[in-house]
Amino acid sequence: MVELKNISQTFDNGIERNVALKTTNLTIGDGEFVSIIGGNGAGKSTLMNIINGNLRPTTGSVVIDGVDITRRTRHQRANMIACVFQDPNTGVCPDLTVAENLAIAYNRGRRRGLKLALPKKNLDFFRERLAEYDLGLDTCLRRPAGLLSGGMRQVVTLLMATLQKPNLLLLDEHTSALDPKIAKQVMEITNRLVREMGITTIMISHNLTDAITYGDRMWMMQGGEVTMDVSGESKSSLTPAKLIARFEK
Amino acid sequence: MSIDVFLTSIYGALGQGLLHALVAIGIFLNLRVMRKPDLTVEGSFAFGGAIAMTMLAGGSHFAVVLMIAPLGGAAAGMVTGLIHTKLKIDGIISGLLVTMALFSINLFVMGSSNISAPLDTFVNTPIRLWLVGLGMQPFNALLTSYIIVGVIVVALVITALYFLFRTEFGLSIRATGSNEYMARSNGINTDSRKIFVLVLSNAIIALSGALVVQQQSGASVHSGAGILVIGLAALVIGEVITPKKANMLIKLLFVVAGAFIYFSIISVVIISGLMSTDATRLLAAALTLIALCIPKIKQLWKDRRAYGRT
Repeated sequence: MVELKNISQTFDNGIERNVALKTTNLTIGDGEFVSIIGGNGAGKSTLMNIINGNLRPTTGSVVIDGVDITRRTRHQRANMIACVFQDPNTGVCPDLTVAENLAIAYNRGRRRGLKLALPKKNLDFFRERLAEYDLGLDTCLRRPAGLLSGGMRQVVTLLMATLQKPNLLLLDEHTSALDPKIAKQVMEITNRLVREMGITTIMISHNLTDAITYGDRMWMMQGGEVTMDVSGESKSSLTPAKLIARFEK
Repeated sequence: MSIDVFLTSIYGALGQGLLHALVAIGIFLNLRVMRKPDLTVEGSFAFGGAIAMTMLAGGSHFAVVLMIAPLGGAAAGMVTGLIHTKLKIDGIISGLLVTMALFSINLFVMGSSNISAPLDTFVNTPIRLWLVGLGMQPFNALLTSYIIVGVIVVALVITALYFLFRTEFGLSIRATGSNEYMARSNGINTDSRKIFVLVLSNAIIALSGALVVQQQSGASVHSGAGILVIGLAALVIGEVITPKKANMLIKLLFVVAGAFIYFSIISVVIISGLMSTDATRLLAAALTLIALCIPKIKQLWKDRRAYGRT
């Protein structure tokens, strides 16, 4: 369970104050898949950054599965939170091989000691996992990740994020840099992974159809607050047109 | 120049190259693995030399000396790392500050700007005496003994690094250098990795300093001056000849080869009388520049062939 208690974010450079996120209380149940939509400056990324530790909230606390992680730095909360970002370059080390990238993610949040980084049994496991997606990625284990296409890099990043089940998966517009066909493929893979493993997930999306189609619950953010929180029937009956009408209101 | 003189100078370059290769390896760790230049090099090299010569003059055994000198370099790297990561000062400035401070510290350690110790306390002595015992000429025995010392030390360092970079910890270091954001997202404490590499590289560089002052039979407070460019020259010359698909081991071996080539060129130029010893720094800078340009010229050539003359 993810609990955001009284969180808010104000940026103050001494001249101007900018409220990026108004005081917000949100709770996400175990295995729940939430999609977030909203325009630029709506506070989506601020919310994500507060959860993943890139920002310390001005007020409030972030609690995941009963553990208050508000004061933990980015790398200290990596054992609980996995992320996939918009830019395919952020998720992988370009000059490390695909296998090495997976090995790094496989140890997410664990102590990294003097054990061999790529024992044979892990390589076999990685190959099996990659082979599940019919993208030919299993033959790329020894290639530098930077040579993969953007779409393939996002798939690798997704697999990295889910090699160990995270307590929370954050997806920040992770398909928006991809062409529509690949974006759809990546979205399908995402949905499959999240559902099969029952991962609690928050996804920011610019694609309204995706936001409606995937996930159990949808938040619309406007001006630094969540203005709509729908799930179940009321969510699935939405259409992009209705949503745009809501946006403009 | 007779062929004998030529061969002797190449032979001497082998010893110098091996001992200075450690500097190039240290620079490689910072510049290529972490992708951050470190300017602590000149300070920690001189620091290693100062510690070594002072201890030898004080009667310490060379084995102890070679263990303590790297610790000095490690401490210097640690200070640079802490200034950089904890105080958030730019890495270049952190290194400069530490090098500057070390200049005074080295003077303090040595007690004067030049010191020496009895030659038979040096690390090469057992090997040199053994070679002389085998009937080798004293001068050749001297050169050869440093080559053997160099081979042993470089082999140990490279083997250790090779295995380090195959471990989970080693991989986390490479990830930090390649994509810090990704590394942090996967729970790697990138600050600790940065400090570790600065500690490790400066320990290796101080070890080089400790060996080189013995080869040169004395330490000077200025022995670190210009060592950064020499190390960089060795590194980039080595990289020019490194095959494209090379693992860490091959890359490190070619860095050593680069150091040998660099010292061969320098000693041949000096001995043939083409340039005076004073001009070697100029030559070093020119060689580094040329080696840095070769990949770019190659690329330009390729592009030209692909698009140019139709």
